[in-house]
Amino acid sequence: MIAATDTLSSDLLELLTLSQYNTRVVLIAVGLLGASAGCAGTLLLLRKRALLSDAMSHATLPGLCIGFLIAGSLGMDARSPWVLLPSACMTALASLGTYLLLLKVPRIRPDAALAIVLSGWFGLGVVLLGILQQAPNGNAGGLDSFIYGKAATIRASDTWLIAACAVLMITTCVLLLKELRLICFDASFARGSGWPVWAIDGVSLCMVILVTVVGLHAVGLILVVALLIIPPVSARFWTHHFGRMMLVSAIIGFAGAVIGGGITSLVSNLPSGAVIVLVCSAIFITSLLFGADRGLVKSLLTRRRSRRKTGIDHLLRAMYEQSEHNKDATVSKEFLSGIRTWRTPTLESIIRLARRRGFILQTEDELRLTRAGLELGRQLTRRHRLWELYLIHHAMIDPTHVDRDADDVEHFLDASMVRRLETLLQPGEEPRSPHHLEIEDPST
Amino acid sequence: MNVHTMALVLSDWSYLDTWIVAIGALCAMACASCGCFLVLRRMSMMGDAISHGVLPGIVIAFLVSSTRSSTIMFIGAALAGLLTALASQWLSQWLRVERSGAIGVVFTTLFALGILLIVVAADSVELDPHCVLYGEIALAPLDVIRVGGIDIPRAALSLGIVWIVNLGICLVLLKELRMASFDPQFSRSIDFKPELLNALIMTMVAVTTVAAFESVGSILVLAMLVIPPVIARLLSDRFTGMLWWCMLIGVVASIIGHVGAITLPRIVGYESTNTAGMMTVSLVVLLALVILIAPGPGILAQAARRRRHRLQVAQEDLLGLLFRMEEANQHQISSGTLLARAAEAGGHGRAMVSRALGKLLSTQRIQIAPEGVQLRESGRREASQLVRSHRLWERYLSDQVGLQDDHVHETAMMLEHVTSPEMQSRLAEESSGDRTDPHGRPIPGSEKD
Repeated sequence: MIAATDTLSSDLLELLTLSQYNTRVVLIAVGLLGASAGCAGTLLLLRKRALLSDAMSHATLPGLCIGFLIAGSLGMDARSPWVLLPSACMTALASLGTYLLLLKVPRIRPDAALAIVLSGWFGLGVVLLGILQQAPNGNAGGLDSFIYGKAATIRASDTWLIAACAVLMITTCVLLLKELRLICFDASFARGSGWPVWAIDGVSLCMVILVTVVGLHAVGLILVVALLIIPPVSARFWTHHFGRMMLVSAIIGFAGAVIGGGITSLVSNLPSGAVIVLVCSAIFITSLLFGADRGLVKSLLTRRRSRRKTGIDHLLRAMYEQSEHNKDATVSKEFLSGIRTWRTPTLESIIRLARRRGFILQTEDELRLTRAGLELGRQLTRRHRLWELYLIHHAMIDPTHVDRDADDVEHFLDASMVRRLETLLQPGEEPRSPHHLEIEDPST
Repeated sequence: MNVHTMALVLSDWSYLDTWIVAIGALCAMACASCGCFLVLRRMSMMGDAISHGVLPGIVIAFLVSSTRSSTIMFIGAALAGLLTALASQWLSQWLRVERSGAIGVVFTTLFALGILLIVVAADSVELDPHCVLYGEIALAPLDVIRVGGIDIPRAALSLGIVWIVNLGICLVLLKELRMASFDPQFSRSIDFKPELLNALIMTMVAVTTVAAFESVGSILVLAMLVIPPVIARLLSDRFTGMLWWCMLIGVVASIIGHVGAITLPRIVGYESTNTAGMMTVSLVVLLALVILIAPGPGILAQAARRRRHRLQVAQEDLLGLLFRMEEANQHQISSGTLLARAAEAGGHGRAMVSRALGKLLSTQRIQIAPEGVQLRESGRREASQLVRSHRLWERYLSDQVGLQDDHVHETAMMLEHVTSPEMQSRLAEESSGDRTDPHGRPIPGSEKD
């Protein structure tokens, strides 16, 4: 047991210091692949075509088989990527063509077209694979690493190929950043202003095909689509800025691929494709929870903050409206729970919060506003009534219907808005508040 | 390869081959009967997601029960399938992830998990990743269960049951499913929950996928789910019609697929290949064929319709031209000049106008006299109605629409071919008794005059 732990830790050390040539090669290759997949995937996701890459990656299977057969019959090394990858590219392109053709047939919807392309090309691949298994130039075992992904079989020459593709792709992305952003966000505007949308689209799809084909080695043709989809979807939880999203997506793809590749090189016999995808999924779940732009925790916190603010605002306004009649009035909890539909625990927590922020004082069951609470209450009441007046006089809404709406809006009226409402309504000369309450002048 | 070898191969046909065809057909029919909904509701890729997503469910069920007990496997897979559908729906609804991205994230994650579990637990799970991906329909007939004294392959039995249950659900809930598929908004408005039905469909898809995956693998099951309904949709406008077409297509594809799988590879000197793959290929071939020859939306039918329409327009243009020449007292026109002028005026090809001329001659609407082409009585009647429509339209466009007089001719040229007698009489009322067109030429009388 101790010996096993020792070997594991020495393995880990070896991995972290990248001392083994093989590991170094593999990790560099999958890392670059992950990064470029992150870039290309961002384009796919923003053009709402994430599943198109799924169809194209499945369509590489017949290409691989054809390449394998051709190479075998020409007496070349049938597993050389220089034969397999171009032919995989050809069928991926052909699948894109079939998809575009199917879209033109009446009654075939895009989703069905995609499913037909995916399964049809894959079916052809399965047929060819069945034939290949009897081929004289040995079994099709070499193809397995393309189907399931065996990062460990990546050789130094493959790394150069992957690196070249990654550099090409990242340069293209950087050079065409403006154009790509344009078609991602408003393709019809781009078309209207004379941009060759089909060409830019073509470039981005070519990048996707390139990533797919190059990624076959590391993650396999069924799961390579995950490298294109998961990083950008995760990146979307962190930022909504196009360039930053692409960068974050590339980083996530890089990290997922390197960590996944590292794990597979530590533990023997794991399918690297599946492990890389699962690491990416873990990053996705983390982003989903803690993402800075749309993350679950953040949006729950934002929602809680705004719910608390709304509650305190309503409490203060209710108490202020009471103190209008009698300066030193105290308010009981029963009274408060009577005027709004507050449940007792909600009311208790709002009172606690307001007390902690110094807006109210509590003595036994009686509540009274502090000076700060009084001031805030007055401002809120003023905003509320200004908005009511605006709705009555400018939106022509019946006075009996304005209270609820003003309830929602009063929290968001800032100072400039209040000034505009004042100029518009000139509350001094206007008739009394619809509910027969005065609007306080803030200067007094 | 020649016919002889093919016959030789087929003479080796045994009961195993019959079972393979039967299993393939049952598989395609079971899948297609729930695939119809996926296609109609534009959720085909959800079928892909579910068929990938059930994998961890199957493996975990294996690990838990350590048998190939079908019940536990079906339950595990149905749960995993529902999880796939619901998780991607939540991601897109609540966390605003783009829909196809949400589907992609969920099913790749689950599939990766399934693959990892298979590899890690390889000792206790007798599931081969190859079998998961491509299916082993050729081995399916060997795994038999004795039912009532007959050996029936387990796959055939489970697929048969799933098919009958699916078909039963389809027929019992026909009205509800049809309504929810064609008009979800309406069904929601009458307080009928399409979501519940959605969950039912997703469960059906998941269970069917599990029954099918041992035979055709987790990816080709998508072909069985989607392609037959798409073909059926091209052939039928009715939901029940689609269902029956799906059944027929399933059987045909299975037969062609298996025969193809055991004969075609011999052309290039190999033995045989994967039947499920060949079934998919034959489904695609059937689809291509139907796209070509389907009566309504087929490419050939469309081309024929367009051609017929163009021929009709060319004939009418010729008649109109002859009528106008008679009006102008130009009775002597050779067929060559006529064709050239008609081709130029109507923008037709020369071949098209010559065909139109032939058609007019053979239907006795015109004749070729020594002095030139002339209208016969039936042709003259038709022509006068066309010219009447033309000039009434010109009058209407000029008076009521307010177009310039020199701009109305082209529009009237197009409209005259599609003007019904009712339309014509309405136009005549609108022209308020004006008997000439904006260029001052008389409007011919109506048929009744």
